[in-house]
Amino acid sequence: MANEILDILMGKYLDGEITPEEQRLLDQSLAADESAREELNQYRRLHERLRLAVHPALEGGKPMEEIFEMAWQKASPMRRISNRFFRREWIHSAAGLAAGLLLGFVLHGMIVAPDNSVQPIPSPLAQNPTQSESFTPAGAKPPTIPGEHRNVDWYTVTDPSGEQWLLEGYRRQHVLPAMYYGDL
Amino acid sequence: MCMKAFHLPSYRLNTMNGSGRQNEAALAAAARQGDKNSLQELLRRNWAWIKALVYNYTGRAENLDDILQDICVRVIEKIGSLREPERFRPWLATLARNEATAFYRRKGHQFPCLDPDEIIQADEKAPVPSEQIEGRETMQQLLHAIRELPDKYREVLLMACTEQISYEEMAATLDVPVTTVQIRLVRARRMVRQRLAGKETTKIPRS
Repeated sequence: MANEILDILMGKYLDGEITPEEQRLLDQSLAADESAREELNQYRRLHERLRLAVHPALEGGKPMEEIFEMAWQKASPMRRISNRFFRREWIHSAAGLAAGLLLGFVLHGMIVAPDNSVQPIPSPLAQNPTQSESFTPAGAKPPTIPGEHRNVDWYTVTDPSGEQWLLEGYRRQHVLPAMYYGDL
Repeated sequence: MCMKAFHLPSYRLNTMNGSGRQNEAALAAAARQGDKNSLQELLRRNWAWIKALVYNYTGRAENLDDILQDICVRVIEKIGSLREPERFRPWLATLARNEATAFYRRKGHQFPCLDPDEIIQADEKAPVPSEQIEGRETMQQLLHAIRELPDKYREVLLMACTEQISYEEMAATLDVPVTTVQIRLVRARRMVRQRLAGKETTKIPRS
């Protein structure tokens, strides 16, 4: 039997972990090998001396219950209360919901909401004076813009107060305010 | 040779079976909610190896109770942050190690480790048959040999010395496979034996 396996069996035997099958294997090895018997005796002496050396420290001292009571008194009462409070499942759900909402608002502000900074909207029609300035969505055709967009049609709308708006019309009948980045 | 000389009854029942683990996880879950009795029961079940673990780091009996009390305080304060109740043991082992090192840092001590003289003094007071003690010099050599072991080997050796923790429980506590525990124990014993035989080596014997 390999040395390491034999040593593991000896260790398990000394620690009371050996199974009947392993015990049988160990007995066979010991019967066949005198050096293995001597080795086991050495390990057994070592094991006993080690126990003698560390037991006084491990068995002595105050009882566990006494130490625990003192610790319970010493531990911060607020911590104990907060432990109970923060373990509630609904607290976790509410915190998750609040975090989700907050994240949603932030993303909305960053991506979807229009830029509030005032930018003069240049009319694409200004580059093409042949197109009408009073271009309206109803029955209107999108103007031709240099650098054509495949999925978006652009056109202008004049509201009742006379303000002119640049709009983008998606093909699925969506009409949204145009996003303008200053480089049409 | 009489083969019966090598037969000893197995003296430890395997306490870390499936239901034992479930019970401990249930206790940890209750303790997390602030149940004092559950927490006390959990610590009582794990007390022996916590002591061995702290002793591995401190090597002194004098401060053991103080460190254990600090560990209890931390457990009481932190149990609410335990995410997986079934992993209470590795969580506790990490916390105990951190507290042991923090204690000595706070006190401004060098990190001590298994003081042979102190252990021998304690040992002499212990009511053990005199024929079992082979002499102070041999004991000192033994303790020096243990002191020289790398942490992870000394840790399992001392835990095994408590005789209150199975290999499976040690594996769960140290968060390693059972075979790793077995091999570490074998190597730890082999290293101690080699040192006692006067073979000074820094290499870990593998076979």
